Amino acid sequence: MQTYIVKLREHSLFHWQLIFSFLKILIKTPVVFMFVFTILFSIFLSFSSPNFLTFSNWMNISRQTAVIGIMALGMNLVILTGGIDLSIGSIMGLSLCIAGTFIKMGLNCWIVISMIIFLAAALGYLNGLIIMSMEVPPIIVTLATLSIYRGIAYIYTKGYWVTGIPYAFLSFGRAYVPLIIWIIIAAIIIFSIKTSTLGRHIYAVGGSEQAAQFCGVNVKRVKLTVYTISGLAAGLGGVIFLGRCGVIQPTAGLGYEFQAIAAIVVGGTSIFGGEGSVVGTVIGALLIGIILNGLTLMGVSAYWQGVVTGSVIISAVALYNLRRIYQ
Amino acid sequence: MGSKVIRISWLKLRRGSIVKNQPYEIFLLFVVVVWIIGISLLSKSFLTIDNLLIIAHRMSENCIVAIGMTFVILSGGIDLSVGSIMALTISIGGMLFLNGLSIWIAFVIGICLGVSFGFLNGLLVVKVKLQPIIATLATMIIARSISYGITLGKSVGGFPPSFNFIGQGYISRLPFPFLLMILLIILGSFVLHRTRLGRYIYAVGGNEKAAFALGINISKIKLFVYLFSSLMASCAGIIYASRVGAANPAVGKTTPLDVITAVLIGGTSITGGKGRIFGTIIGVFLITSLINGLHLIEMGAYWQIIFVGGSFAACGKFGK
Repeated sequence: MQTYIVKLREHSLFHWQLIFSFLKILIKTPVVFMFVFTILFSIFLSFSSPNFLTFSNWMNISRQTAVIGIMALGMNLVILTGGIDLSIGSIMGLSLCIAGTFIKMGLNCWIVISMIIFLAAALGYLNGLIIMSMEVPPIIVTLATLSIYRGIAYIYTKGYWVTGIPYAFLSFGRAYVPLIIWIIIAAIIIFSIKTSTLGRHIYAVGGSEQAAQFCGVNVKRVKLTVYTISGLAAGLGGVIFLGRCGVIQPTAGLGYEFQAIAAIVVGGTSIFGGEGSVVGTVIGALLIGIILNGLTLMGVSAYWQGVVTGSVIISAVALYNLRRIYQ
Repeated sequence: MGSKVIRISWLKLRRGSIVKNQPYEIFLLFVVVVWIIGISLLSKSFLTIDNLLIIAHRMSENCIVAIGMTFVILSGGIDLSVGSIMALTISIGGMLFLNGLSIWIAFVIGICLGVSFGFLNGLLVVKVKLQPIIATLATMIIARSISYGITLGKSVGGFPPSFNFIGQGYISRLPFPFLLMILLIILGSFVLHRTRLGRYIYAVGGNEKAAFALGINISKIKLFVYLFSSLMASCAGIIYASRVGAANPAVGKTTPLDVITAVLIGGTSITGGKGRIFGTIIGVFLITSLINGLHLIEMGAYWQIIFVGGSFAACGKFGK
């Protein structure tokens, strides 16, 4: 009996400790914090608009966010190694434009899609090659390739759009397909970054390139791989974009790199590299997508949504910086 | 044996002194000369006064923004929001003008609001301690959003001719924006190379901890450069609005990239601490004349973009 009373007492203390430790986890793990914030925000939004919690609305959110979400996953790996890839929008645009001619030729849908992804990966590999061989900072190189690839896209299409995309392609942007693709890619990356050697090496290179080099990590190969993956992700995003959009324009993907950066930093990845989680990027992309969707449902004009996006970025990164300072 | 050693070391010494005195600017001038010769061989009308005046006209806006951007990059930061600040300034000015305010007051208020965004940038970098790329990315998104929000996506036009003179006027054959640009170049160079503030900017960019140890108020310097950059962006926006005769909220979408390209081509190091205004001007000139020259050779508008990117990468390589 006495032990029972003692255990009861311990339990009542335990509740406080539970809450306390939960709060500590909240603050210590930015990802958890962001996730909780997303849930709370969704609850708030469900009160302000009756359409928010509907299945079709959430399907809509998933379709809208999938493109940026996938591209952000790819760029996240680059940022984790301490680099940056500003050219993903142009990679997407160029690979789509070149695929446009093959679509018009009537090639099989799967062949063209593999072509888009392969081409995008090749462009990403080219990025990595230039960065490795020329030893110019990645921000400069990807800034340059952003212009170069975009220019090639303009020249290749001569400014014309490609319309009349067969239905087979459009199926990639319908229903739950974008969501499935996003979930699969996210699962692959989240799983492999924690378990595979490449994943550990990515964090190592981001943490300290010299230290990683001394530890025997092939820094060059790691960097080449992440830029290729970033290109690949851009290509995948392009496939979904094509499915949703139905036309190929040379301006496809303009500005997407900045939206991807937004999703990445809201998810807690440090822009200097070495710190951050891929799960965070998924949550970051989701959060921004949910907020934008909620704003639209609340009737806020599309023009003013940027203010909210910018404020979210500032608040999120400020929070992470505070956490780093106070640790 | 002994003389060989001396000779070798003398050679090395001599090489050292040449290489240390702004080799990159010599390379840049070389590139400019080669480029001008090349283009004028391909097109007879490149070196005409009329064409040079067109180049001067076109390059004014980007050059003014580039002066501000040089300050920011020299201090070790970056400012992605310049294009959006341009748009914000003229959107606010345009809407105020539309609602009856005198055009000058309207655009002065626009400039004030543009500069306040620069102040916001500075605060975010200094007080909230955000990385400059993220802070200016956020303000870029916010400012662009506000520009679209208040103009509802439409341009405002119908400015009086006295205002249009800023962008379209000529003073004895020289375009007015070009003269403004020269004025600001002189001002910028003076501040950067001849004042203590300028030295401090280089110091903060070169080695922040050392600058702090020297007693330099890093917060003030950083705040200043972002204020200055936004001021330049606002002015460039006004020149654009008066040149085109309309205030368009979509202006400046490629400006941050174009201007950063020009600044980096001009030899300024992305990590800060190295670079001169002169280099920046050359960078802007190269890019503008590139586009102009390609027009003349009728090489098609889109090749320009490739050349910009290519020369960017090339200069980045040689700058190391």
